[in-house]
Amino acid sequence: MAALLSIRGLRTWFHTRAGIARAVDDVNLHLQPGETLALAGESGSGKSVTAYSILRLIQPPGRIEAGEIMFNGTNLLTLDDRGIRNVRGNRVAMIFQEPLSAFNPVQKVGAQIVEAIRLHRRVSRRAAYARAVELLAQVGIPSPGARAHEFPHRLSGGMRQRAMIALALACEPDILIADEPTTALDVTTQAQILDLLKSLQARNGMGLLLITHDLGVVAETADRVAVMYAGRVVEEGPVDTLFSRPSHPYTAGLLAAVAIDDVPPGERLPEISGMAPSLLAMPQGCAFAARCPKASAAAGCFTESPVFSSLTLQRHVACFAANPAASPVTVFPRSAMRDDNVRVAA
Amino acid sequence: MTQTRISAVFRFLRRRLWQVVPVVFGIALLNFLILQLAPGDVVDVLAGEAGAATPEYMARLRADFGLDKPVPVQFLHYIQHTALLDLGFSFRQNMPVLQLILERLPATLALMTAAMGIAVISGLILGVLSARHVHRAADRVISIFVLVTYALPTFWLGLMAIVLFSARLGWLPSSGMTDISVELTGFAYLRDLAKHTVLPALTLATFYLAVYTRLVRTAMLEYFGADFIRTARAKGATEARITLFHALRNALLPLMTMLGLQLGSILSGAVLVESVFSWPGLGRLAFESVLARDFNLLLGILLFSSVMVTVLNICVDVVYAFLDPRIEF
Amino acid sequence: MYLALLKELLRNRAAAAGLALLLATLLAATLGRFWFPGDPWEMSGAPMLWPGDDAANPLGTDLMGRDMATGLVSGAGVSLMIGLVSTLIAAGAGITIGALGGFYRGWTDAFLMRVTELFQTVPQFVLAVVLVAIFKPSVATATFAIGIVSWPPTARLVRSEFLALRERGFVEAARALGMGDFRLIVTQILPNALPPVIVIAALNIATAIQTEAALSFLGLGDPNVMSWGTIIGNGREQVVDAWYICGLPGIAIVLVVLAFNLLGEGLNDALNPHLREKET
Repeated sequence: MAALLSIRGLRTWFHTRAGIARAVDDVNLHLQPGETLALAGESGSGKSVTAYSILRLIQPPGRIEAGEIMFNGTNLLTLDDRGIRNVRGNRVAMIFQEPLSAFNPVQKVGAQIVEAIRLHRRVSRRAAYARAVELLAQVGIPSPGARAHEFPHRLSGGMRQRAMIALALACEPDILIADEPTTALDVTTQAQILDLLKSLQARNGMGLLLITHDLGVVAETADRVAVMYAGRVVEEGPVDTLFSRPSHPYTAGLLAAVAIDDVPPGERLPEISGMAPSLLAMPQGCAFAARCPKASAAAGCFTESPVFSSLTLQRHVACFAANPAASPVTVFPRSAMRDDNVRVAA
Repeated sequence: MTQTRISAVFRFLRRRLWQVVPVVFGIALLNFLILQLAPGDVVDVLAGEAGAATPEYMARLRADFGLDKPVPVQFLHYIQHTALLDLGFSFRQNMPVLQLILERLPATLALMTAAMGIAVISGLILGVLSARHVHRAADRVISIFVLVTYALPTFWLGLMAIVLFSARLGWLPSSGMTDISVELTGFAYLRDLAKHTVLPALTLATFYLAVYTRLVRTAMLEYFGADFIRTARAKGATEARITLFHALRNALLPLMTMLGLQLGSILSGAVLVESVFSWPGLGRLAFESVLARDFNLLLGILLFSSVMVTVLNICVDVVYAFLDPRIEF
Repeated sequence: MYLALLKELLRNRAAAAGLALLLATLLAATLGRFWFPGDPWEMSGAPMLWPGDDAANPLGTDLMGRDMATGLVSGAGVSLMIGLVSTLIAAGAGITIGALGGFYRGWTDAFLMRVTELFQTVPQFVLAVVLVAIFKPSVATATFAIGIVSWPPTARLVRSEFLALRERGFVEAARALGMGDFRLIVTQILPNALPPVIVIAALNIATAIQTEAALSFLGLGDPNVMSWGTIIGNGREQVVDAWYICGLPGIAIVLVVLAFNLLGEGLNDALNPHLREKET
């Protein structure tokens, strides 16, 4: 099956006074119709910048330096302004982390959805408004007619995120990019929003690119996951096999760190020691090497950048030490890695 | 705008209008203090230079102020009069102070409105231009213009404008509100009025234009990075639409706040501009009362203009609340 | 610390320009007296001589034949003096009121803020006119009046700084050591609240100089002192025939005000480095 979206060799750099920050450096991804791909990583790993690069929403000093983003046979990076505007909100739509600030504070919710519709469809204001109310009903907002008439600050956090989803669905996009859609919400609302996204996806068959730092969300929602670290994708594959048998030491560390609930009281939380390198001054070799328990000079971890390559048909990893047959136990020291934790997290 | 919101506005107005009371009280107290601290007794001060006022007027003033009574009683007298908006009598102009002020008020309001209109609209245009071309040539030129404009004394700018546009170029009249040598009606009158308004309004507007340009530029730059602007971009909106419909619409809010804060300063500016252009408003009246040492009139103007600032401020707050739905009345 | 600040200012092009202009004004006000030692009120040539007409009066003469250069030099001193002293008065009043309100909060604060609001509602220039007119025009009344009308912004700023700072750890620590309110305010909180006050003060000098000129222009200047506003006020009747009489002192005002504005902004940049980071 041809990919709906495929990103090849994407580089998005920020030209700051202190130097060039390589926020996204040679990222490759693909998304199939009806599939949910999670882009996971810590903040600053480049996952959001990757997502914004797709719709070319990068603002100076950021700039897309290289790469190709193919969507429906066209390269989004070479489209002219009108061309990319035609894709934005129409074929590829986005929802954001903070639904309150993502809405224009002085415009009614309905009017903002109407705007999204009328930017791409030649319909009357009245018809667009009717459609907006219908969309609000679709995302499970009670008394949608009245809500459309409210200003964003009058809605609760969960309702706002639902309205944001309604806005994104206005033109029935082929791809929905969700940038940390549940981070600003409480736990119950988080689950509801994720369920809503899943059911909408099942109905529309759209591809969903889910940006998140929450591995629980990944496990619950995604078909495939790509883990980013310091501007690169370090590991990618189906959620179930990747979570049960992570290949990259970083992924393994992340999964261990997630299972906080299962750490007996008084015992230290498992965490990856050290800090992510500054994007302004990337070390030679693998970016994770300095924190990696498996790193060795002999394998070239400190001198050469590992190439992102196939492990199996479906799994890819960028690590010299990775071994497809390795169990989690051998990838990570027993003390820091608990296979039962991983299963709980998954 | 729903019915309930409009009635809420009226409730808000009723509540806010009470704020005029402490202002009147405060200014009255201030005026009274000034009179008490000034050299000579109150009537000497108010009657201006010795011998200028008639004995009857002096006697009337002494009675008004109850000068034979202790100071607190005098203050009560003063407050009582002020509260009833009895600002006393101007001996020089032979008219009640309040009547004099009300006669001159429309001219000042007209000048302020014209100047603010110019300042707000040009400030918006220049601010948006500056923000759209940030750190490029247009932005730099506008920034230098703003910097210089900040430093221009209003009255001096007015004088120089008269030299250039009235005397040298002969384009516009330099004084008054209308041409008093001819009787004009209808459209011709309005045209004449407009011609007389241009220079004073532009002069008064200049400083605020600079302030608003800067403010709009900053606000727009801030909004360009805001989440809701990113949403608009992600919807597929054009940059022009994003600038005008989303960012500028929100930038009106800090602009209104600034306008409200500066009402007192605008009125102060009007005093100077009116005295340069012989504009028959409150400022000109204040200037005349200084020249004639008619301090009762001058103090009345101070009180009245403070009340006016308070009332205008309430109006600005109402407009603000209409612009920002997050404000609850 | 002062040396570092000065270095920072000189690196900032705008602030350096402001400092240079300011230095030039200071030199004009001091050394200029030796150059043009005469009495600015004395007739020294034919009236309304244009600048350059006569070497004895390089910047011309006014309507009464008084030397313009001598008047401008005198005005530079008056402007700087009144600007500085009235700003000191405003800063003193503003710091006191803001510090008391922010430190004690409660009804003290409520009362002081009402007073501050009242002074912000009154059209400042009109109040200055009233004060100067009633207390008789002089350098002292003008200075005092300008100070009286310009303290509210400082008070508000100091108050908000105090409200924030009084909750900080070092204040709590000093209080725990038994430090009294006065010492707490003066030695602990105030030094930390000062940087933005310095910025406001620099900008306030600019406004004060403009206000002084406006008062003198309206005839409310000290009758014994030649200030820039006085020269403009005297020249306005003949402004069409001899615009330089109003023009030259006006340009002087613009330059000095520009200098203080540039300096204020430079100080703002230097004292709030985090603001610079935001501008890319």
